[in-house]
Amino acid sequence: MGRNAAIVAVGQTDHVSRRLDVSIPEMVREAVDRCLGSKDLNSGQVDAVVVGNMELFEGINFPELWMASAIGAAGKPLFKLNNGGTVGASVAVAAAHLVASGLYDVVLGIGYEKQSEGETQSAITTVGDPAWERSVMAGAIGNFGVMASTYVAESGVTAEQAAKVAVKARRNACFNPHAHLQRPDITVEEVLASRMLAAPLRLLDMCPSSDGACAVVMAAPDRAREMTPRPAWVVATETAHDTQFMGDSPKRLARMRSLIAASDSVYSKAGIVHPRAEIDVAEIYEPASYAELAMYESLRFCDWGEGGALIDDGVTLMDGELPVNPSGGVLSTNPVGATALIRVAEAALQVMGEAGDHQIPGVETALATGYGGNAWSEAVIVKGSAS
Amino acid sequence: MGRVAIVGVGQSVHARDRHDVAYAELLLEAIDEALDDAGIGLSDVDNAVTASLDFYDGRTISNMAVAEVVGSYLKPESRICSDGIGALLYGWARIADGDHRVGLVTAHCKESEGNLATIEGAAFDPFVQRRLGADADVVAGLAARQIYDSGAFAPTDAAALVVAARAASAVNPKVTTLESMTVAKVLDAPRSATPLGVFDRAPNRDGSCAVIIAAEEVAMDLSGNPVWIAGVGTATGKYWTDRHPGDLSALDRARDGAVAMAGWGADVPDVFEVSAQYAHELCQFATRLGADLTEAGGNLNPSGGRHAGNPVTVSGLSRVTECVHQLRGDAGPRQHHDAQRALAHGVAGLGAQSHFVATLEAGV
Repeated sequence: MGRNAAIVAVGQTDHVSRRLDVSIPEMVREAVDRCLGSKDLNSGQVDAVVVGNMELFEGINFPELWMASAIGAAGKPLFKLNNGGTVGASVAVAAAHLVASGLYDVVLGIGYEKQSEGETQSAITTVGDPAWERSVMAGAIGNFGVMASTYVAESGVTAEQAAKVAVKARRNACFNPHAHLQRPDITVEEVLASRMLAAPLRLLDMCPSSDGACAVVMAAPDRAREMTPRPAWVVATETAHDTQFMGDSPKRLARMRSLIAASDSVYSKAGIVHPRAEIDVAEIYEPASYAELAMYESLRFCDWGEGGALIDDGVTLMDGELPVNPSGGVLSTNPVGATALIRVAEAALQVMGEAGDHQIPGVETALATGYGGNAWSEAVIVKGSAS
Repeated sequence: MGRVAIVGVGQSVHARDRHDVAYAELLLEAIDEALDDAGIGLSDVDNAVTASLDFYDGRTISNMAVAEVVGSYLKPESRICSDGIGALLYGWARIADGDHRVGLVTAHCKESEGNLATIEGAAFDPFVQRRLGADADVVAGLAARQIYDSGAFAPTDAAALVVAARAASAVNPKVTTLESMTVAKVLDAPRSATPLGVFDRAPNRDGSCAVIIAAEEVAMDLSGNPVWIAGVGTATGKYWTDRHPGDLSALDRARDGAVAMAGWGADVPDVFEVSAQYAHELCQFATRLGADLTEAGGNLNPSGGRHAGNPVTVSGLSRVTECVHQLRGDAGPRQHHDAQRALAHGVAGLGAQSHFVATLEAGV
């Protein structure tokens, strides 16, 4: 990129099932205020704003225009993105490009969803092609059921191993005050006994549906150094999509082509040869427990078929060799339009040393990923130094 | 930052209903033409930025359905939910910062496929305004009343622009030729939202547009006639109920940004392509951008503009496409003599809340 962009500030709402106390603009404003307030910034210092959200989830067309004044964007460049679950990462990638190109010095990136005000699964049903897929492949859960089944068949991963991921997420979430599902006492047995949704996925294998927003400030080098002593430098970003029809990618989770392409690209750009050894912490978009195990493999944290062993060996626990989702991840918190931005924001917090009780010591290099659309992937590497 | 050029443009035919194609197929028509114009294949494109809106496409994350036609299999695509010049701006940034070399920027919309009152109505505040039963025409009518009462423009000014646009449709092969009109006919037409009549609103259309952009070194290899993106600018005003219709500060900022970046100073563009859904808005925007309304169909909207028939989101990129033809000197019967600088404008939102401007230059 032309010049590096750096994340200097992060803000999140406390994610819950229903925020009945605030409207959508008020909820988003809360994240913006927390973000700017964390570094004593104000919206007058922001040159441009990028917003991510799925309009049909809440049923509002041009929602960013409705809330323009509430988020300090009136009178400024304001961009709205919609790329499914990946959109939060798309926001971060767009903010990084807009800064790196030299067009703007300070960009505020926002992702949000207030799922309680809409019917997300009804909206997600419409992602299927109306002629070919909509009648047989409705909603996110059925899709993931199919994908997880193929992954189980491919890798031999067990329900117990997947349940360990579900337990890790909800226990990690207890150290993150913003996380939605915080369950210190959750057990593997409880996950295995929870209600079956779409085999092999049980209720506790899936992410929740949350109301929440996340905001980050991304700045050009000089401005970033003024704003915070240790910015999180965005050194590499990549986006890769997969085909529209699931039948065209039968191993879409077991060999996640888009995630392989995106992560290989950012590893190469960031000079990372051995991801497991060189990445200090990862915040990945794991919409289901099985998906996290499959993503370990596509991210080359381990060999093919070894995803289950990685969780068995505790490698990805908070105190493991490569902690994955110390924030509690998507399995604990999922306001869809914000979810992938939360991954980037949490990776930045780890690099900045501001992750509080879920801080991993000495983080220099962090990976964040986004998942969405038709098994689309985005990957972002943030580091403690610019080069 | 590196220079970025437009090396290929293409459009579908824009018509009232394109029931013969799904929206991805509609977009494919524009992409095929743009690739052909650039002399490259889809595999030469390393990233795509699309512009579309879920509400109009009738699908959530509706860019999923254009993944194949924009070639984003294992490659980047991102989507701007607004006017296509917003997508061009983002596509420019992705190349200007050195991360990519060849970009595909697209916009598509089928206004025929949904209930526009419902779709446009979903842009109203859900707590109070939706219950009032207003629609985009009502918002525009309230604004037009204030603009006309202020004396800034008269209904005859707006009607003359409608007449010019409809005349231009006959020489623009990418739009349906519209029935010719007179000022009197426009003014006598049935009212939609007083003082606006049915011809004040641009006709609803299905259409698509695609633009290929490239880093300087690629552009010089590809094209003997690149058009340079000299500047880009955008700004969003306050929500429609918080803003007087005469407040064009967002347009000013979008223009100022793009003109300053181009280093044009006080130089006036040779061609203006200006977007507006309603004719009184076209009076406002074109004048504010520095165009002469009496030049409509001449150096102001030689394509006919949106009133010749382009849908929402697509309009801005259609404006860019016409500017490219004008600057390359291949605009045929619409060609304006020796155009060196052109300004393309796009707009989005209720009451024209967001503005986008691209400043374009001919030559090497």
